[in-house]
This record gives sequence, structure tokens and C-alpha cells, in this order.
Amino acid sequence: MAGRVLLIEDEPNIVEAISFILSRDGWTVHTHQDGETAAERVRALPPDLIILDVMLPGRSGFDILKDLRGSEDTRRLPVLMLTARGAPKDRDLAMDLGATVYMTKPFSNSEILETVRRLVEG
Amino acid sequence: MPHRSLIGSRVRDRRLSLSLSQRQLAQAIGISPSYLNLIEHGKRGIGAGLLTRLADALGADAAVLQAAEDNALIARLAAITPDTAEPVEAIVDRFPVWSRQIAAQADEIAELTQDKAALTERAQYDPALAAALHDVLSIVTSIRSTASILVDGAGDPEWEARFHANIYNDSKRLAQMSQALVEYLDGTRAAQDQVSDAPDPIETRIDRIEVDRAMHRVGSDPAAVAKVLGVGLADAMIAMAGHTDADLPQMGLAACDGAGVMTHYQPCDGFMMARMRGACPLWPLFQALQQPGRPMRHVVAMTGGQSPRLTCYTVADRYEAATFDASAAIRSVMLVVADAPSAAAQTVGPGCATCAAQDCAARREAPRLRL
Repeated sequence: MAGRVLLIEDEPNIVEAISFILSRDGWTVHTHQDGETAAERVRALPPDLIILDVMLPGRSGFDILKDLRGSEDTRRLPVLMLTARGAPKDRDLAMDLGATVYMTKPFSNSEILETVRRLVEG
Repeated sequence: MPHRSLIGSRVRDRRLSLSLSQRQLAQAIGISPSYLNLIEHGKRGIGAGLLTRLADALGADAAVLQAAEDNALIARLAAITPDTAEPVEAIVDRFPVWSRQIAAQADEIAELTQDKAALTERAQYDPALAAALHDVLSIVTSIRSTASILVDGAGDPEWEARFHANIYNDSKRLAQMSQALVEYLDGTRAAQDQVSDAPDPIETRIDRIEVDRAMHRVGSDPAAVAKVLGVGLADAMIAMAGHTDADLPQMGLAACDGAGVMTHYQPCDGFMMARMRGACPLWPLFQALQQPGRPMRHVVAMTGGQSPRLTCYTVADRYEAATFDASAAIRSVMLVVADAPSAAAQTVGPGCATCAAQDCAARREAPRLRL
């Protein structure tokens, strides 16, 4: 069972690559590049899973995650944080805020595909 | 460099005990004050001729100064190789050239280790550098992911052409970013060298133990510490920055001359000033130059929002005795205490080249690392 993935990432070539590998696997991929309006986009869709970058224009991924976890509609939505920030304090912060998985760049395509499948299909 | 620093320390101690300034001693032996400063800090060796002139000027025995260097070399090698079968003294005696070479290499390793630690710390507190490194990682991620798709076969010529173009563009960006980073880091190193070569206007003869005691007694307020020690405010701040007690708060120090050129910089947690292309002009260090003699206290927060709030104590004063025939030598000294007060803070950056702040009225150039 493939589902809907919302990819919130501002690096266009990463967006293109991830969209391609997930689409090829049968997922419907929606993309969003702006941090400020990302939470609204989540609520408008809503997706089965979010892939969320940390350093976004307008608003950080941490703030967006906090917002999503504070709302009943999105409290249990799987969120895969995808970021270049590999420091333990960043990972701890993300997990404390409620990230489902914290993955650091650079990642492999198979790694991201397997994680998405696991989080949505169980 | 520890094996040279003992002879440098002896020169410095002897000079201070004779109440000679670096300038006076340097003039007496025919070298520049900055070169003498390097000798005193163990960054330059001393040849036989210069050693004799130094000994004469200081009223010391050249052999005693030379012995200090030999003893320092023995101590250094003993620290590097504590378990030698042969006594270190005998090794130094039999292989003096190799011994010096080993000590020099160990010093170089220690310097590189320090550089690595400084860069790691830098990435933590330098928002522009951290952002640039994140950008590099993102580009690498994009290239890796795209290349991986192409290796497996995208299955569609149009998509493949698109991914080839993406890889080409990303690799161009990566090359530009790498070049900018190399220039930035090289420039930083050069600036550090320039600062360390400068004469040091912040010498202090105050006993460190006295300073630690005073701070335990009256806290981190430089005015109170100066009163206890019976010294001027700037001297007290310089001495406080060198405290050796882990129970006292971390402190940084910056000093500049009357032209605003930084002559001393000691970072601490959350405190960072750029020197390569000029520090942020909003630091109180520079404001104090406009009102010499007036102590100032500010709470600042660095741009980027990751660092603790800092209390800056600043004063500008004359640092050499006044004479009728010479212009006043003014310096500004700023003590930075990472005591994270909750008071409202004014925002400062490390320097324009490494500052992520937008719409800053004091900006004089664009950030160098954003592409």
C-alpha cells in the first residue's frame, strides 16, 4: 500500500531526486519549499507521512514539528526529519519534539525508501 | 612551542622585573618589538648572537638562558615519550638535531589539533560557516542521490537528461562553495597569524592566584575586582580573563588599538569576533574608543540565536606612560563573561563576512560564504 508523502525541502535538486525515487515506488509525492506556510500545507493535504528538512526559509523544521505535535490532527503523523545537522544536540532536540525518525544528509536512496515504507506500511 | 617557551618566559620575566617595555628592550638589542614578542611567546628561536645581546641587555648570563632551552627540550621529549629505555637527557645529548626535530613535529601536531578544535568550535558559533557547511552537505546529498538514480537507470531519456543537468549544476556549485570555504579558512589562518605577530599591549603583572581569590570574594564585576587588587579597571579585566579556576565563569577578552585594529582575542563559549576582514562594529569594544576612560557594561546576544547571552565590560584607556613628545597610545579592552543573564540584549555579529544578520545598518559587505 503506497500513500501520500509531503516533502518539505528547499534544495530543488534533492526535491527532484527524492520525488523521483518515491514516485517510482508508487508513492504520491507533494512538495513544499517554504517553512512559513508548511504547517498549513500539512493540514490542507493531509499526507500519510512528512519528510521535513530543518533549515528552511521562513521557519525552521524544528518549529514546524513542534507546531504539528501540538495539534490533535497531526500529533501522530509520521515525520521523517532529513537534515545536514548531525550534531547530537540537534538529534536530541528533534526526538524530544516528536520526530519519528532523524536522518542526516547525505543519505542513500535505498535508506530513505526503506524508511518511508516502514513508517507508513509498518 | 613549549621547548622555546621557557627561554621566552625567562626573557619576559627578566624584562618585567627590570620594568622594561618590549619596545625598550627591542630597541636596546636592535630588533623590532613584534619580533621580541614572538620570542617571548616561544614562536621564534634565538641565535647565538641575539642570545648574547639579550643576556647583556637583561644583565643575565647567556649560558643560563641557553640551559633553559636545553632543559625545556628535555622536559618536552620526556612528556612525548615517557617510557624510553634510555634517559631522555642522554638521547638529547647524543642526538640533539633529531631531538629538536621530534619536539618540533610534536608541537606541529599539537597546533593542528588546536586548529581542528578551533574549527569545530567555529562551526558551532559561526552562523555563516555553519550554514555554508550545511549547504555543502545538501549539495553532496543531491549529487549522491541523483547519481544513484542514474546508475540504476532512470528508465526515461528525458529524466536522465534532467538528472545529468542537475549533477552538472550541483558539481559547479560544490566547486564554487569549496573554493569560497578554502579562501575563507585560509584568510582566517592568516589573520590569526597577523594578530599573534602583533606587539601585546595587554601584559599584566598581577598574580593569577590573587585574581582568582579576588573573584571568589567579590564576583565577576571588574570594578569590584579592580578595587580589591588596587589596579586600574583595564588591568583588572585583563587579569580576570586569564583566571585559572574552573569554578569561575568562562571569560573571553578582546583588545584593540586606537585605530580599532584588534590586537588581542581570547574567545570563550558563545563569544566570537572575526578579525580577517574586520569585526562587527557594533561590539562595545569599538564604542568605548569614542569615550576613553568611561567604563561601559552591555549585555549582547550573537546573531544566529544559538549562543548564550554575554555580559561585556569595556573600557578604553592609555596603556603607556604619557610623555610630552609622543602621542597617547590608546587601547580598548573588553572582558566578556558568559554568564547568560536574562536581561534584554543588543545583537552583535562576529563580523560582516561571517554574519547572517539581514538589514543591518552597520553592514559593510555581504556575507562571503553564501552562494
